[in-house]
Amino acid sequence: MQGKELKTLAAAMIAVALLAGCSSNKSNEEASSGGPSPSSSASAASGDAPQANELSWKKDTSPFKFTQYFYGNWGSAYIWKDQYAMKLATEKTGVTVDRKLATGSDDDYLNTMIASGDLPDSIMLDWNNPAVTKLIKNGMVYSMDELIDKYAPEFKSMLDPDMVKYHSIDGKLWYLPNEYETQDRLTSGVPIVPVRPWFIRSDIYKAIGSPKIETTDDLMNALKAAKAKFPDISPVGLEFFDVSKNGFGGSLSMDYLIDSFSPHLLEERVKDDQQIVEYPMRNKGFIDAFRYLNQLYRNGLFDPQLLIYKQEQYEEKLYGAKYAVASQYMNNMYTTYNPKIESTIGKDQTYTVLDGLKANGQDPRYPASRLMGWQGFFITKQAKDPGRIIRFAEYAWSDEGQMDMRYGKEGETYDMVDGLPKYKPDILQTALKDHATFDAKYGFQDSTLLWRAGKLWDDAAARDLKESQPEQYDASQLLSKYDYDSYSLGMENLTPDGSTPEAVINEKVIDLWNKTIPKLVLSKSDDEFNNVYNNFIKQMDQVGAEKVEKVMYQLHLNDLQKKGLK
Amino acid sequence: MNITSRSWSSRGFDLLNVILLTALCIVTLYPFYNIVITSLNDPTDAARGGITLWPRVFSIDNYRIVFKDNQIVHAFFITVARTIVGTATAVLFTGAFAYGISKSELVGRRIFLMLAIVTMYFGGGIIPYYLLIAKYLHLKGDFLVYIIPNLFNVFNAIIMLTFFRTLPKDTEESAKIDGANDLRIFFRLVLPVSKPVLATIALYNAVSHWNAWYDAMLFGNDNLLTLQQILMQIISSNSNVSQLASQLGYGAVNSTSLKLATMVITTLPIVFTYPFIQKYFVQGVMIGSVKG
Amino acid sequence: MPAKRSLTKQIWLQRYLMILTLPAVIWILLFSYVPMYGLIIVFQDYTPFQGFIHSPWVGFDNFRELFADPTFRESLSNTFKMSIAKLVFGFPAPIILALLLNELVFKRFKRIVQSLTYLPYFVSWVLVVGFMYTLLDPDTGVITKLLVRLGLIENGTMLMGDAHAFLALAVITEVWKNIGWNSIIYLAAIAGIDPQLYEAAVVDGANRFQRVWHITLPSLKPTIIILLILSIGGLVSANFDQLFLMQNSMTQDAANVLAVYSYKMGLVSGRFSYGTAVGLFQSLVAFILMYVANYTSRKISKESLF
Repeated sequence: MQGKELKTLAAAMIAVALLAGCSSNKSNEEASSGGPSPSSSASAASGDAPQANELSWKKDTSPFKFTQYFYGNWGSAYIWKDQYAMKLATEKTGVTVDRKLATGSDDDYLNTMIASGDLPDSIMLDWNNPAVTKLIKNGMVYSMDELIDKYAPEFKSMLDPDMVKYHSIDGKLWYLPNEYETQDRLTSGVPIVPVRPWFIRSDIYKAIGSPKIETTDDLMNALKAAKAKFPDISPVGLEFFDVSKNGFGGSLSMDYLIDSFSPHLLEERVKDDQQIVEYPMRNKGFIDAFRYLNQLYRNGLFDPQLLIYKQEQYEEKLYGAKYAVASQYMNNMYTTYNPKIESTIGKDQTYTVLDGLKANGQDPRYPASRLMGWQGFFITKQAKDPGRIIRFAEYAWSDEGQMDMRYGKEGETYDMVDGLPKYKPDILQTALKDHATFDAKYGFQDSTLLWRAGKLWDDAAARDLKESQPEQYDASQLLSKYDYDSYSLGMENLTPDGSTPEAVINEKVIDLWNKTIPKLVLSKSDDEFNNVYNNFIKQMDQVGAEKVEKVMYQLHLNDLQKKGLK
Repeated sequence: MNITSRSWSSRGFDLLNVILLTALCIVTLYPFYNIVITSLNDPTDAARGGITLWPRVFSIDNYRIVFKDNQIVHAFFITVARTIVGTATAVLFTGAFAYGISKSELVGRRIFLMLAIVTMYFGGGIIPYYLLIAKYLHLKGDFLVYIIPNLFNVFNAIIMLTFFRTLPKDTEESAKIDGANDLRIFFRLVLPVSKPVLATIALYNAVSHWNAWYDAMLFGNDNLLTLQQILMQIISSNSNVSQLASQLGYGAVNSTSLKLATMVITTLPIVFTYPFIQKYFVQGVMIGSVKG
Repeated sequence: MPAKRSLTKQIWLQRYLMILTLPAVIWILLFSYVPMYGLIIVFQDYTPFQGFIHSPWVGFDNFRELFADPTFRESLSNTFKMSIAKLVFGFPAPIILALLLNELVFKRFKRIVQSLTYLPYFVSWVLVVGFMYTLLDPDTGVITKLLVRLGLIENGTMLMGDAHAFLALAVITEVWKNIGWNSIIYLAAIAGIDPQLYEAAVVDGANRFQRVWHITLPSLKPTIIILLILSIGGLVSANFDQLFLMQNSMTQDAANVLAVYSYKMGLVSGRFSYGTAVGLFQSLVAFILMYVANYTSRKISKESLF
């Protein structure tokens, strides 16, 4: 449950960052301070970097296999099965990763392993998962510092000091975070779109006379016009509502509205004078977004079924282009839905992105914090040869390893074009057209999962997106102009720790809010809406929401401190 | 039934019965039928939904993709092996217990039965169980982990017990007088006349072995992968997280029709066991032979 | 002394019966009783890394919190409502199906019906709930249209989002899914009935309804009673998969049964001790219900489980 809102945000960001079939990782010359910066010299990164000779992993390249559990039962693409990138890594280092997934619930599986002390050699686990504390406090994993000092001293200088600071617990680094983005990510690489944008079906837009849709009122009018011309079409499509899965917005599609109605939501939630971080439900603009949804409903523009749909039902309707305006991840819309709609129904019914909506005369603001990491790489005390594993991580972390895993061999799978790596045309085509085959054959995004920031591949990803998906690139550009850097606000990881009484209260608040959303949206009058809302606030206070808000303030301070901002 | 001449009311009932059961068949068959036709539809087109009576764009691509995975053949053999071995051993093991308990003279009968019944309601949870199997019995990664922990099932024991209690006592008693011991009576006399209940319990066991994936996940390894585990992996890839994965560009989200194809492949073999089991449900033949 | 000797002797006489029985008894002790030490965590604030021995002891705190939580009480009453409805409709259904099947004149048709009605058992709840959304869609759902035409519901009713319809839908789908599968055991029991009984009844001039009433049903009685006793024990448990998948933000009050509650508390929030306490409470109630049902049955019908 931890950091749900953040995860959503992260997902949206990665979405954009990793389009075009290339995993991009971000930026920053300092990040790879172990050698010449990749941006200054492209060839340095492509395999024969001078630093490579000194690295510890070269000392032993005899065959070696270690086991790894990956937290995520859906990740079958990550299992090592002779893919190009995996083979290349094995060829160079002698190492094979025997990666295992859970079937069914990952939490069940992980907790059983932890409780019984029966762990694999290494674990890939979201760095903000509650189990991380268990692993560390229980002494079940090595600290990276210990292993690096002992087996791979050169590795230390290759780690970004900011990253080490942010991710250290009790003064030590316990895992290597995958996908940690550095500061300049906001200005380099693929444009970030941190919300699920709303789209309009092209033919309907034309049929209603292609009006300007700049404000929330414009959208309301456009929907009314669409409803009049296409009475059988459902005017608005939103992703499923479930507060415990999607955060307090309820649906991942709501952020688009919330960021319009409450452009300063994150700042407004922090009340330094009272030492609390408010629940967003206390914010007027946040509630206005739901009021707007209620207006849509009362005008017959919102199908109440969306409140009970699961993901599958929404997907099915979207594949059938059954909505005039629909919300979806930028990347999903342009790489999955639109192509399918085009091939089964027709190009005229594909969707075009809407610009950010103004409300009350204000521009929207999208909180585009960079990603602090995804999965962390842990080495457990069960590992028979932790030295070999940390040395393998060193290889993966090096420019050489990053390029091997991302692009393969120069001249064989990629070429340098204008100083940036680019897949050979046939591979690029496979990546775009048949991602499953791309994964199965090359595994360029599935190998070590030790991705680190680097301007070289960031810029390559941005260029590839621009070239292969110009429509999506332009759409991303259109929306990313509303981005602001929310990193310094310290609003990440505000969810109270699972075992505390505040976590229980938080669960109750989530439950209450989950039940309240449908009532708000389906209110028949403003009075009813206000009653339902006031009732909710009363109930929320009764279960002790204030205690959680105090804890969230402490967590907010912790976050700032970790980032070195306070 | 087939002996008497039929009255009008009886015929009317027959007609009504046939209509009623036909309706029930349609209602129960349709979802399964829908699954089959959707799995035979082109995956891209199937995403639009609305396939009701026959495939809109016929294609066997889904099946081709599923069979491309060579794990599935291996998993098929593992699953068949555990189903056959597991069913045979469990029916015998549980049946022997149930037969013993069915004898009122057995010393400790009530204690044994209570011991068994209590376990229907109380358990220590997954962690101690895991430690027992993995740490103390060292069954993890061994094919026997599918067999030994499933040897006994309280519910099945109770069903068999109920059946054994209804068996006529006289044949057994006369066999005893002839000098046969309880083992011999159980195997030679009781089991042969218990075919309907044995068939039922065998079906229960076979289905639960076939559908099991949790033990395979906890205690198995790549060599012990079962069909249902593959199905679970494919079904669970629809979760939110996999959406995230597809966002990341890591692996595509599976289409509905592909999932359904996997489901058909992993379910059909077990579904077809029932018609075979049914032949042991022929009324009276067995009991008659006891009496006769 | 003589009593003891006679017991030993008795056991020796029963040695072959013991050979049949004891392996399973040992199995039960090993696989079911040994892991029960895990239950001690209900008296602890268990954390996996402190383990069963070192986790702090909290006495009955978990239970105190449990009984004080209004959501728990709501979930308990929901569970009973749900289970009683399922028992009332779900229990007789397979018996009726078995009897109807047994009355079929065409044996081939009987076998076909048998094989088809048990198919839904193999369709996972995820898919069943998916079908429900399709069939109950307010605009396009076949069943919604039918009900509207019959005047039972208003046009545009969203059945999947209706907390009042939740119970009925849960019961209907459960019956539909399990009726064929659950009838197997009765069909097997019917197969065990001595045909001479029917022949004798025919000679006595009994019609087919009388035969069902006086022969088939009494022969099924032991099976019915045993299964009923077990079902009564199951009153505190409700089908987690089904209800968890069927619930949504508009029906979650109705769907909050014990299993869902303990899932949310135990697994999602990672509170092992509390989740186990919920489970233990559930087991205790189930065991008591089953025990009472068994006792009552023994007094009334002379049939009992033990």
